[in-house]
Order: sequence, then C-alpha cells, then structure tokens
Amino acid sequence: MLLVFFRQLYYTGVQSAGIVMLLAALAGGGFVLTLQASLPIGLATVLELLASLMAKVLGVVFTLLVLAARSVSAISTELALVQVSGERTTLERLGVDSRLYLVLPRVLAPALSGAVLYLYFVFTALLVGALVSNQTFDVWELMQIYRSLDPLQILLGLLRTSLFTALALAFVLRFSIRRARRLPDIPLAASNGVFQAIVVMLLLEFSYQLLLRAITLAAVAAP
Amino acid sequence: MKLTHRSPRFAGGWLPGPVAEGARLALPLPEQAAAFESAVDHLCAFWYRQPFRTAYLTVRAPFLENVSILENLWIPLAWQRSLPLAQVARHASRYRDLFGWSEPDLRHLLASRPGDLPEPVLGCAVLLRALLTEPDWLLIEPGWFVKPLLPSAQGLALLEQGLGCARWLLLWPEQQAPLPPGVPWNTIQLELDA
Repeated sequence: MLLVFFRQLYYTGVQSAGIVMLLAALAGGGFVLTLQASLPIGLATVLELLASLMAKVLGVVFTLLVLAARSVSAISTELALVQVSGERTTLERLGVDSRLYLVLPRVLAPALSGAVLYLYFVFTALLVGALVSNQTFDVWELMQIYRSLDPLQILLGLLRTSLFTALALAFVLRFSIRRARRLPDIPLAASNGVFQAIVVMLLLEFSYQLLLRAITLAAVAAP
Repeated sequence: MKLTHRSPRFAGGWLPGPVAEGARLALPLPEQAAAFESAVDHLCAFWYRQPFRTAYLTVRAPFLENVSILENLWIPLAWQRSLPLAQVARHASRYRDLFGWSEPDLRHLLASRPGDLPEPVLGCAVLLRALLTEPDWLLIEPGWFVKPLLPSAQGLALLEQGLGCARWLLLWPEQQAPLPPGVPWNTIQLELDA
C-alpha cells in the first residue's frame, strides 16, 4: 500500500507541480498588471491584496480545480478499468482488501499533494506578481513580499485543500466508479468523476466561506 | 442462498481445517453466472479469514495490467505473508527449474507488464504466484481447466508437481460439465449459511 501511496504522490504532487505553478504565474501576474493599470494604488497594497486573495480563496480553488482535472480524471479512469476488467474481483479473491490497496492511497496521496500544490500556487503567484510589476527588487526585497502572507490563512488553506480533495475523491470513488460494469462505462466514469469532484470541491469551499462569514458577522454583532 | 460477506459459514459446522493434505475436492456451486460469482466471492472471503494460507488460481483478469508481474506477485504475498518486495525475485528463482526458465527468462518475466506476455507465460505466472504463497489450500476457478492458460496436460503436471501437497478445492458450476479428468476429485456438498 505504501508503494502505491508514493507512486500516487509522484503522479499528483510532482507531475502536477508545473501546471499549478504555470497557472499561479498567470493568475498572479495578471492580477498585478490589471490592478496597477486600473487602480491608483501602490505596489505594496497590490501585493498585500494579491497575498490575501491567493491565500484565502484563489490558491485553494485553483489547486482543487487542477487536481480535479488531472488527478480525479486519471484515478477515475484507472479504477473504472480495474473494476470493468475484473482485476478488482481477482484482488479480492486473492485475499487483498481492494479498498485498502486501490482506494485509500488514491485518496490520501492526492490529499497530501493538494496541500503542497496549494503552497506552490500561493508562493509562485506572489513571486510572479512582484516580478511583473514595474519595480525592480533585489532578492531580500523579494523575500519580504512573503511576509504579507498570514500564517493562519496559509494553514487554513493547506487544511482545506487537503480535506476537500480527500472528500471529493472519496465521494467520486464511492458513487461513480462502482457503477462501471462495461467498457463504455469507463469514459463516463471519468467525466462524471471530474464533474462530481469539481461540484463537491466548490460546494465545500462555498460552505466554508459561508461559515466564515457567519462567524465574522456573529463576532461583530457580539457585545 | 442468501449470503453476506460478514458471516459466511458452512452448514453442519464444516471447517476446512481438518481436511487431509493433498485432498482434491470439487465443490458444486450454482450454475447461474451471477449466483456462481457471488458464491465464489463469499467462499474466498471465508477462506482468507481462516488460519492457513490460501492461493487462488484464476483465468479472468489474473493480474493488474498497470504494474509489473513482480509487483503483481508481491501484492498477495505482502498481504498474506508480509514478504518485502525485494525478496520476491529471490523466492521466485527457487521455482525456475519447475518451469524450465533461465535466470534472464525469470528476470524478463518479473519486469514485464501482464499485457506484454503470451498466454502460456501468463499461466505460468499465475502458478508462480500460487507457489510463492506456499498455500495450505488452493482454490481453483473452473476456467483453469476448461480454458487453461497453460496446455491442460502441462498445466496439470506443473500443478501436481508444485502444489501437490496442498488441498485443492475446485469451484465447479453444478451440472455444467463433467469434472476435469486426470484428478481423483471428491465431490463435496457444502451449503453456505447466511
């Protein structure tokens, strides 16, 4: 099981890193260029806004979407194929618990990778945002940009990305893959899996934001 | 026959433990495909909870296609015998002579994906997996004899040679076909209770 876990960690954590950083660069750079062009505010404020937005919302949402597009589709296809071909049945008849061997590593590894990818995303977005602004930085100044990140927000972002990825994958593997019986069900399982994962992930993030808002309002209303 | 995975047991309190070594048992199961598959699932679930090693000879989808034969051999071994992956090749080389393989042949087999191997070699790999388990009981799908991965005579000879001491249990669809020849089968009637 550990071998499968590390293999999945490589597929989701290492192979997705480039895509996540590319998206982060485009999002961070685009955000800074747009804000500088449209609002009369200083670069420090722009970078603070960028840090806050990336850490609180966009880092989580973008990372979840990348995981849904890359990992959920791959895992759904793979497990649907294993189910349809009868390989899962063989594993069970060999005394191997297919939930422990096939499913658990494919839920835990992307969850762990999600947290790391979220960090990649936030740090890359901030770095590229700073680099594309019309100001020159030395290395020390670049390092100072990261001081605008709130550690609590980063921690919450890490936990959310990890938890939402695990929950979405568990949902997809529980309700989508098991229905695959014939070969034509495989592409259906993959597309349904991605769609369901995106809906579950965004629904969870939306619920979290609603909860956060309710807590904030309650705190303000409290005497 | 209504069964659950949690509590399969045999009518009359029959247990596989006291059966003599080398027994060749044939167990008639329901003929209808879905009922047959369900009965096999429950039998396997029952067998793997017993305090002895069990191997399973299957024809349909015998291996995971996306990993090597080495890893495929290792998965049930890790489950039943906690054998590290690094030791599988060493253990497998003990059976080279049985199959008439050279060391490079074995290395090639272990490194290959199942889809890259011809059927007879795949059949040998299924047998090798059973051998590596060093089983007390060998559960055999009917397809192993009806549509063997290995030529019948050779397959049976290898089975007798490598796993002759094990108790064999042939899972046989009732009234579908005569029992495979060349083996002194004892038909047993067992009913699984819910």
